[in-house]
Amino acid sequence: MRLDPNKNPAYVILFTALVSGLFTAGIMALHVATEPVVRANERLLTEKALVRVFALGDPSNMTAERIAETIRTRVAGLDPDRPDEPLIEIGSGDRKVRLLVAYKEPVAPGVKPDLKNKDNVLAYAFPIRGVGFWAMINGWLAVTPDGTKTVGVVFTDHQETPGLGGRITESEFRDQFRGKNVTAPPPGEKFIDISRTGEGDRHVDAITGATGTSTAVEKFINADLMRFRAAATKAGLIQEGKE
Amino acid sequence: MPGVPEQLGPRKALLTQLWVENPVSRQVLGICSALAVTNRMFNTLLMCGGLIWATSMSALTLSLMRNWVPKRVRIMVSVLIAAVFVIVVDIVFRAYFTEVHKDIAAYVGLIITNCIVLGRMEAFSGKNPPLASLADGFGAGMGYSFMLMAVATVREVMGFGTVFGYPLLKGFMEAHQAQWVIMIMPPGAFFVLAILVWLVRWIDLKRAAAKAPAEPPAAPGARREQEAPK
Repeated sequence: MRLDPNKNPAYVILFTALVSGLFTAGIMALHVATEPVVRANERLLTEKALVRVFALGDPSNMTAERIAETIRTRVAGLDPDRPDEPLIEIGSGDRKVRLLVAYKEPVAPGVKPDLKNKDNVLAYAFPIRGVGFWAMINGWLAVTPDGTKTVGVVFTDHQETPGLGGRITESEFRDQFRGKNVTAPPPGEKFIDISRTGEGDRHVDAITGATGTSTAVEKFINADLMRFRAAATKAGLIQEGKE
Repeated sequence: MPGVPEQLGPRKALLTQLWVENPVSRQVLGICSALAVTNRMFNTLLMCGGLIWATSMSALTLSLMRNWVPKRVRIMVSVLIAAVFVIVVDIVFRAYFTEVHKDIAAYVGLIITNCIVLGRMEAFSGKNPPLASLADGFGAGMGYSFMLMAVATVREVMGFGTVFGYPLLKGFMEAHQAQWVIMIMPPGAFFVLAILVWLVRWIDLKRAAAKAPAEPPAAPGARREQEAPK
């Protein structure tokens, strides 16, 4: 007797369960098999971002091993499993900020950083995040040990329009963030001004055709800089001072 | 036999999807992604690769299973098959093209709900043998890719003055080309796609007119009758 697939409810249920189970198992197997590669690649992306933000070299001309070695010996506070949650904390309560420390000369991996001794400190970096034009934007901003100038910026995750807001990841935009004045601004002004017109050591040219993204980046970078300065001042890391 | 559609061979199925029944220009399917991904040729190429894979493999798989799939769950099975092959694309991109994956992850997910994948499975693969279904799915993917790459080429050249990110006529373009922002934004895709669809259909009409036998000259009386209502 031949089973009619369209008339037997038990067949329909069994078939659906079997097909779902088989395909799901296949996908899970592929996911598990590629997981180590995915984790290694994501870690490499984070390390490349940190090399860029601290200006430790040009990651496009460095091997993966060299990048990993640079991060291992010159950056402290990175949690490999949760790279966006650095291990070093300053401040307390609402003013708590997590940061990474980069060194001028290599140090022994795993050494707990002494935040009071800045002789070998190249820069501090803290996570920046905020709502962009379409969705959340994540990244890092690095500042000099005295907290007066920016060292660099990188954006690691975003969903901005490719070719417009998506250009925040391009070097033409990022390179403008080197050496900007981030001391406390005069009342009513911003740490960083991102606009089409303007000049001075706080100004960054906005991206043409992406005013929404530029405004969003300006908003959250200023907010995160303010939080960092408040926490770092309270922790004695930087001196409070106004322009 | 009346009421039973003629079964296409693999070659005919492939060619039909490439031009005669092109998913974008004739069936107007897959328009969402045609608008979303076509401002950069490289992103478009990756999206097209993913869609060709998804349409081909989904069509082949459903065709192989077609005699065992109960009719009442056929859509669920089709979506499941399409989702599996799209997730495979997503996992492979995530593992081996991590940086690119960050740019196109949102678009890859869109393939699951792409009308072309489900449309070809429902219309063809569920009723035809595996080889013809594979050719039909591959042809649909290629036909979609042909149109999308055409749209992307126009948009990237006009919007950025580049081809696959490389400056076109370096120096000249930098001096004379202003970024045409609307070409980069989704509305630019509407304009370019509409013009391309019109162009393809105009070519088809011209070819059909050239093939049609010449009509015999109408009698003078008949002509007067036709003109009378004016």
